[in-house]
Amino acid sequence: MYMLRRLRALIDGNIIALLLLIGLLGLISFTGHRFYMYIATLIMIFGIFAMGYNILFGYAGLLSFGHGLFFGVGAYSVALFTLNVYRDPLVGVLFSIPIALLTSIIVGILTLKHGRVYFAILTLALSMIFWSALIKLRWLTGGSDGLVGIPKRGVLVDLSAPTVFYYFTLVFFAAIMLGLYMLNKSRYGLLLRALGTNEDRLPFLGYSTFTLRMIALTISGVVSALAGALYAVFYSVVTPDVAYWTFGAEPLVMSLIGGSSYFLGPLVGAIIFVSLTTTVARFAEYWMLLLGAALIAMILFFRGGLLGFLESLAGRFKLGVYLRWRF
Amino acid sequence: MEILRVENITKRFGRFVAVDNVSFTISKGETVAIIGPNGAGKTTLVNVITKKLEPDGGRVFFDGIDITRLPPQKISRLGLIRTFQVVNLFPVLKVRENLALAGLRAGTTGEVESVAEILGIKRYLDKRLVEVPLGVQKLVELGISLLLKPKMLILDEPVAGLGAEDRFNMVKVLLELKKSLNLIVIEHDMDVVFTLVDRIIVMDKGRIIADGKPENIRENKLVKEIYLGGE
Repeated sequence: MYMLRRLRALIDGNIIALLLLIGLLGLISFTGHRFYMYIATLIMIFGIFAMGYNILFGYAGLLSFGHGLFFGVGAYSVALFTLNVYRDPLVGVLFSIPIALLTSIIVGILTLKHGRVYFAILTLALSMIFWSALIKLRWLTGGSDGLVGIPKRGVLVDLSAPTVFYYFTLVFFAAIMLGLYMLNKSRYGLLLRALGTNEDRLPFLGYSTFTLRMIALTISGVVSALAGALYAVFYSVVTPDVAYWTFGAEPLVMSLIGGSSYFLGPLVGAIIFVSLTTTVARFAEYWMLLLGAALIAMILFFRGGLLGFLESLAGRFKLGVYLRWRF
Repeated sequence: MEILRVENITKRFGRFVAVDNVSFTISKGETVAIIGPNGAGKTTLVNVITKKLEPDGGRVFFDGIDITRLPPQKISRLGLIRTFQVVNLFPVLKVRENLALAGLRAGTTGEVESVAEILGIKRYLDKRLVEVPLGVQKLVELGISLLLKPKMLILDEPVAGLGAEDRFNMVKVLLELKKSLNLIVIEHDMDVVFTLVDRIIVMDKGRIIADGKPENIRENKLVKEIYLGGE
């Protein structure tokens, strides 16, 4: 009876939508269509990046302009490890986890004691320092040319067939999404939401806001780095562009488009963003302009993002109960 | 036996002295009100005791421990819990989640439902805090404090802004609580103060101008003059 109650508490619209999406992504490989698989892989990688970013932005209420740093740490970790230490993409991707954890803790120590504005600026500055180092340390990072030849075929796994790499990414995507869902439902999920809602009150309940912020940053940093690691293996090449601040701001745009106060908002934003940038960009010369205009319209008129808009629409038709997907 | 000792606490904002060399001691089991006109320094004093503000001078001891240099989360963990004048909680979270935040910290998650029952707010548990009336929000704030298992509870204007029925309920709850808890109440409502407390500290212009039993304070000439309007 207790287990049944626990199970019922865990199931909501988010997990059903997530499982349907994972199933749909699994089916795409059966089409054998290279372009669909390419877009779906990018959606999964940027979906992981945006969902990781939103732990800090949507939950903890901290705006970061430096997430390119974590993405870049993940990408360069797997590249340097597989090219110099052990030639295997799976081990390389897993190797990026402790490196990202360490990076997150260092970034946290340097930035989290300060106010939100200073945090935004400091993360921007740290990511630009990292980007400059990637350019300057040519002997290690290949400079602006980056590192090429990141292997898909390794000692333990062979991901050289597109379908195999697709499933490899899907397994990571599913595991990370389900992990984030469990986090959302856990005590830490509640504490992180409380942190974003009213962080000044938490110390009077006995919580250290620094510790909670650090938890949010390390989860966010590690998840973002995993996205970067998958990205590097996917393209077999990594350049300093991934650590540049405009790249690091993309998950922010995705979170805003989908709705940063919804669990699945960043993922919805990633689907829209990747679909637009890989399809519209091929036809429309001024797609960046279009994207900018769409973003301004979104922020001015649909501040809750697409999911917020759908929720208000559903509320108008008294269907609100079916769209309560906030975290 | 004392539970709280405040020694020569001073707090300045620029040249304005909000709390001026204030000292007092509260014994275990005492229920104390701090009263005074607006701007007397009551809330500032509580903010300094609970470390929402840093003192410019003086020391605070709670349950024998010097808490002057401790951060607010450590003071809270020692059992000195406070509420705020304006409800200061987590508006987008459900009432249940607001209470659970305290439960998770103090290991009292299993008591959320029973505390809600005692406070009469059980039917609001699954509503978001912003959706419930102010009276209920104040009771949620009190519920959070209780779930934190306090040794001493400081309530900043617990009945301010409440209607007659909510006010009555709050006083009823507080009368029950004072049997087992050390309470400090900052309050303007004199009926509530005289119903509830064993001792009154009166502040004006950052200083303590009177300290004693309610019946003595009621007769105090200076207090009548500056606070009770010379009635």
